[in-house]
Parts: sequence; structure tokens; C-alpha cells
Amino acid sequence: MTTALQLRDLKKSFGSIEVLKGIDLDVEEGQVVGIIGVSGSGKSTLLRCIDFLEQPDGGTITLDDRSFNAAKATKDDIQYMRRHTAMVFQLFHLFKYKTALENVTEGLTTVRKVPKAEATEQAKELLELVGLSDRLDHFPNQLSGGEQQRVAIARSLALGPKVILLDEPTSALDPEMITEVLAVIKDLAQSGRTMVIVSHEMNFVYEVADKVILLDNGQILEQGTPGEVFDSPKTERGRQFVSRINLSANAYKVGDFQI
Amino acid sequence: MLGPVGAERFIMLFDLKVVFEKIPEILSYLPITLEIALIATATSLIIGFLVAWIKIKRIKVLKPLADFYVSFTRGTPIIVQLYTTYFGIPFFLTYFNDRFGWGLNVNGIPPIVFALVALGLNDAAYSSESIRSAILSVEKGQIEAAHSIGMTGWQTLRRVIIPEAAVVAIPNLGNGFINMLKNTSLVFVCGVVEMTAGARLIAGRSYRYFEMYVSLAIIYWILTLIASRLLVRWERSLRRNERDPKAATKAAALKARRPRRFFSIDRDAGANPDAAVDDAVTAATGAPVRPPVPPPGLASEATEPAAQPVATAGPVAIAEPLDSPPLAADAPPLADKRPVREEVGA
Ligand SMILES: Nc1ncnc2c1ncn2[C@@H]1O[C@H](COP(=O)(O)OP(=O)(O)OP(=O)(O)O)[C@@H](O)[C@H]1O
Ligand SMILES: [Mg+2]
Repeated sequence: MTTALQLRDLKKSFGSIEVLKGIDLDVEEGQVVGIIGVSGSGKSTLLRCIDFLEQPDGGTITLDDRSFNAAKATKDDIQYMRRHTAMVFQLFHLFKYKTALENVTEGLTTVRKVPKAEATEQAKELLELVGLSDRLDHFPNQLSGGEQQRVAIARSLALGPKVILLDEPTSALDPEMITEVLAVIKDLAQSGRTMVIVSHEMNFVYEVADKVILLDNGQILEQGTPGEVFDSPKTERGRQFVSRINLSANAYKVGDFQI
Repeated sequence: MLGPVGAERFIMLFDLKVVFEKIPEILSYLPITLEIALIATATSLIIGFLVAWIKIKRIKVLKPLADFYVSFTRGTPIIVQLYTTYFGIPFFLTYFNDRFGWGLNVNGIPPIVFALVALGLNDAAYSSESIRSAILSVEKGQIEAAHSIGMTGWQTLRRVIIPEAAVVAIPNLGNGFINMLKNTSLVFVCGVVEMTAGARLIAGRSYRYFEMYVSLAIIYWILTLIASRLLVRWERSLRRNERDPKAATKAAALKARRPRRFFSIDRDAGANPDAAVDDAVTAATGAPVRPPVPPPGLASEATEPAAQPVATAGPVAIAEPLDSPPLAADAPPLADKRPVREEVGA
């Protein structure tokens, strides 16, 4: 297996508060890494630093064969990271005056300069993949939350990212819509996409992730297979965290949802 | 001997027929009025955008200059700005000619240039504020989404920020354009013969001053009505997410539409410096007489006496209507109302 994304000693502070205190992370190609942790532990900040929506203060980032000092990332480095990773936001952030189709073609036509007809073809395929072939001309405000998030996932896939970053993709959704979005993500996982997903859907993480990271106070507290982290945490704080999760209580039902 | 009475006397003083007869003749000056308004507005948008950007990005040195420019322009009457432009541009050109040996032709500047510079700079002080707040209204998430798919700063500006800010800014900018249309009636002080100056010329030939100004008022009124309707349409076309999704059933989506509204916003009427106009301007067909540009050093005393416009024609003073156009008062809502979802498609 080759490493798709590697972080070494990644650091980030907001003012005097150190939010990431040196994160080491390896994401293998085709792997799904689940990041869990209490609110404020730095999960979002970690993803945002990878996509340079926040500027890291220190550390090394390696994506594929390109490696650079995160604190001194050039414009080129930042552009490289943004073009080869994709972000799925908790609140979707679809372009609000663009249709579902245009949201997906935008990256292709504007960033990659793909001819419009070709971009449209590709976008239609992606929207079909997420089960939205009948919503191409709808605007975000005409779509349900679950549909919006599925469009956002299609948008993130458009540029063929090496790694997809998902920040609590279902936390803003009503329960009945969570299932459809998780089904799409699970589909992607099974088709071999490399993903880093922050989620509070512990059952989902347990089932889909190849590796789980428990983040605590800006540091990695536990990491390993879902079995290792959820069933036999090594640290006291890790035990406390998982003891508060009732894995069966919020069972999701991906199997019931067909797209 | 008693003069005519009643209706006859009224017609002698005010002939309604003349009001309508002369409209086509006045309209022959409409193209120049529109040209000034459109070019000055375009200038205003460009400068306004730059000023807004300087303020948002807090660019060193330029930010205080931009603040000063906006404050100064908003705090001075537009008629004074027209005069300062009319005398200021030749002054600076002469200065640069003398200082750097530039061979610029100071007396060859077309009068319309002064009008465009003065009106453009005046309006930019207002448009910059509308543009600034519109840009700031774009949600951070939209910009982050653009960045996350690899758009550069410029691409984000062009594809996301400007289209979204435009929807927010157009009501204010549109009101600015309507003020601009009305403000063009002042540029005769720079020697430009647009619709108001043209009407005065026509009036001078027939001594039908009152009728002519009534015609003029009607024309401006209709012009601003048309402009505001067009702006509403434009704004609506930019709010494309309120349209029916083509795939959805028409009938269901129609219900979700918001009610038809007229377009009207009051842009800080209190701060409008145009109010100082009425007395300052007595009817003058031509521009104030500008003395030949004096050598440097004599400039200040030599230009002073010419600062009063020379009244040459009719006795009627131009009064600028101070109100915003007579339109419905409700501004279109800026909030992004989400239509009833389950009615769309399904
Ligand atoms: N832009 C910012 N400025 C200042 N502090 C910030 C900023 N963004 C995040 N923080 C702080 O950094 C810490 C980590 O935030 P982060 O959003 O990464 O947490 P999280 O693990 O994603 O939490 P949640 O589960 O609630 O989303 C928090 O204490 C937060 O207040
Ligand atoms: Mg978060």
C-alpha cells in the first residue's frame, strides 16, 4: 500500500490557544480514516489545515510525492493541496445561485478548464452516482438537506481528488436524511476512495473506517482499527470517551436505503 | 381695458399642447443624457469596487485615502464638485505641462469629460459603500467552498463573490443610477448640452419656459420609471435560484414564488449633497466662463471671479427634485427565502 497523505507534527494555534499540538497521520491509498473526539478537540481544524482553509503553524505535509513545510507553504503548495483534496462541509456550502449540475461542473470548467459539454457529461454521471439524476436543475434552496449534501459530495468528486475530507457531513441533517448521505459515503468507501471523515455517527465510523483516530485536546489519544479504539482503548481518557458512546443506540440503517 | 379671463387666460400662460408637442424635440438630447449616465455609472462601479476592496482588505496608505475621499465627496454638494472638476482638471494639466514638459492640450478637453469625471467620482463615493457591504454579505462558506475546489482568489472573486454580491448590491446601485440620471441635469455647468440644457435652448426660442420644464419633468419621471423597472427585472434574473427548476412541475413551483414587488430603496437621502443645488444655479445655457488658463502662481486669483455661472437665458431657476423616484416603498427582501420544498419536483 502506498501512502496518499502524510502529516508530521502538524501544529495550529489560534492566538495563544494551541488547537493542534503536533499531529502525525498516515492515510493509505483507498483507506477510510475516521476522526472522532469531543467537541473542540480540533477535528475540524485538522481537516481545514489539510485543505489550507486554515494556515498551519508548523509541520510537514506530504500528498502523493509532494512534500512541503506546512508553515511556509507557497501559493503553489496551497493550490496543489486544494486541487488534490476535496472538502465536504457540515453545512454543505453549495454555491447558492448555481444549480446542482452547475455546482458540480464549476470546478471542472473554471479550475480545470474542461470544455462545458464534457464537464456536463461528467457532472451528470457524478450526480447519478449520488442518486440525483432528477435534480440537475434544482438550486440548493430547492433541495432537501440530504440532497444538498449529496450534491456537495458529487462536487467534491468532480476534480478527482486523491483524498476526500468530510467534516461531520451528516450533523446538520434530519435523521431521515442521514441514512441516504451515509449510504453514498459508504458506497464511495467501498469503491476504494481515500477519505478522512470526521463524524459523530459512531456506528458508521465503526463499520466503514479502516482506521480510527481519537483526537483529544489537539493530540492523537488513540489510533488503530475500529475494534482497537472502540473496544479496547489503551488510555484512561480513551476509555472514558468510548464508555459514553452507546454503539447500538443510534444505529443507522444504510442497508435500508437504496439509491 | 380688461385682459382675457378664465380658460383663455390660463392657456395664454400655460399651453398644455406645447408641453406634449415639444417632447420629441427635447428627446433629441436624450442620447447624450443616457451616454453620460451610463458611462459615469460604469466609472463609478469600477472606482467604487476598487475603493471597496481597499477598505475591505485594509490596504495600507490607500485605506485612509479612500476614507477621506468618501467622506469628502459625500460631504460636498455635487454642483461644487462639478465646478472643481471643471476648473481643477485644466489647472492640473497646465501644472503638469509646465512642470514635466508634457504637451497636453488644456483647452481641447471635450466638456463631457468634466461631466463624466465629476459624476463618476461623486457616485463612486456612494457605490463603494454599497459594493463593500454587498461583498461583506457573501457567506464565508461560499468562499471556502470555492477555495476547496481549487479556485484561485481571482476565480473566486469572479465566479462566486461578484455574482453573489451583485444580487445584494443591485437595489442600492440601481437607486444610485436613478440619482445619476437626475444629476446629469446639472452638467450644463461644464458646458455640456444634455436634455435639461437642450430644453432650455428650445424654451429660449419660444419663450415657453414653464411648458418646457414641465415636459422635461415628465420625461425624467418616465425615464426613471423605466430604469427602475428594468433594474427590478435584472435583479430578479440574478436571483435565479428563485426560479422554477426546469425539471419540476410548473404548477407546484409557481406557488413557491414570491409576490411581485416594485423596486425602490432610499439610499441615505439625508446625506445627499444635491440638496444645495437650487439657489446656486440660475438658468444658464452655457458653462461659466473660464478664463484662459493662467501661468502657475496666478491661478487662484484669476479663476475666482469666474466661479459664478453667468445667467444668459431665461428667468426660471432650475430646481432639482430632491426626492427619490416616486415608486413603491418596499425594498425587495434580501433574505434568501427558501420556497416550500416538498412542492418542488417529487
Ligand atoms: N477561527 C478560529 N478562531 C479562534 N479559535 C478557533 C477558530 N476555529 C476554531 N477555534 C477553536 O479551536 C478549537 C478546536 O476547534 P474545532 O472546530 O477544530 O473543534 P472540533 O473538534 O471540530 O469541534 P466540533 O465537534 O464542535 O466541531 C476550539 O476550541 C475552537 O474554539
Ligand atoms: Mg468541527
